[in-house]
Amino acid sequence: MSPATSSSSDAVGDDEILLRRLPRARQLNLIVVDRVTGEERLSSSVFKHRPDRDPDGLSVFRQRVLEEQGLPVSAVRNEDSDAVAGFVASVPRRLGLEIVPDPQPDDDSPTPTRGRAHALITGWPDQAASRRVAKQLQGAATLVLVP
Amino acid sequence: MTFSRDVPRGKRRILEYAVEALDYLRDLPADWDGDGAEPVTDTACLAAVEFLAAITDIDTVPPQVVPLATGGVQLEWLVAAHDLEIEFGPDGTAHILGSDAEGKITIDSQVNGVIGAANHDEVRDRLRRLALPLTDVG
Repeated sequence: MSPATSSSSDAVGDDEILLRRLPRARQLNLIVVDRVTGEERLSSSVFKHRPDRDPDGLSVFRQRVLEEQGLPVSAVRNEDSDAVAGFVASVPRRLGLEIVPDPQPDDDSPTPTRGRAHALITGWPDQAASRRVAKQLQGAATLVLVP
Repeated sequence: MTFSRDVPRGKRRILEYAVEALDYLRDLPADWDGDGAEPVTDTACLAAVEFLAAITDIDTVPPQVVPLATGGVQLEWLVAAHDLEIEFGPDGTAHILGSDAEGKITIDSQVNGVIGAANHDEVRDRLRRLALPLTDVG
C-alpha cells in the first residue's frame, strides 16, 4: 500500500488527537515536576519551533491514522525512555497555526507504517511570538505516555 | 566548576546541582532528540550558571534544567502550577517567560546580551513568590 493512503492524506479534523514525542523524557527533564503538587507536565521546550532547522514545521503524529494502521500510541516512541504528549488539533489552529498531513514512506522499523500518520504543524510566527505559542501548546497538551 | 566556601551552603548546593545537570546536557551528541537537535553549547551553559549565581538565594527553589534543540538550555520552575522559565540561546542570549496557575502569561521579557541587574531583581522576586507555597507546606 502506498504511504499516501486516502486517510493519511486527508485533512486533519479539529477533533483529532495529535501526538508529539518527547525524547528520553526523564533523563532530559522534558517532564517537569510541580514542587508542591508533585504533578508532572511537559516542558514548553517540546513545542519550541526552530525555523532554521524545521522550515517545514513541527513534527507530530495523528492518533487516528495510527489506529487505522493498528498501531498504539507507543508507536510514536523511538525508545522506551521517550514520553508522548497529546493535544487536540483545534488547539494549534486556534493559535493561528496549520496542520498539514505529511505521510512518510514505510520504513524497516518495528512499526514500519507509523510514518503514514506523520503531520506537520506549520505557519509559525516570529520567534518571540512562537515562544508564547509553545507555552500555550504546553498548557493544552497532556502526557499520554510516560516512561 | 566549583564554588567558593564563602558561598552559603544552600546556594552552593543549588549551583552545584545546576552545574552537574548542565554538564550532562553538554555531553549530549548532535541529534540527541533524533530530530536533528544541535549539541548544547558551552556559551549557553555558562550564561545559565552565571545567571543562577546572580539570582540564587539560600531559599531559591532549584530549577529543572532542560536542553533545547537549538543548542540552548532552559531553566524551569514549576510551583503550585505557577511557572517561570528562562531560555538561554546557543549564543547565551536570554528570554524570560512565566505564567500563573490559569496559564495566563505574567512575564514575557526578551533580553539582549547580558541579563542586567533589573532582570536579576525581577526574577529573584518572582522566585521568592514561587517559593511561598513551599514555605506554607513546610
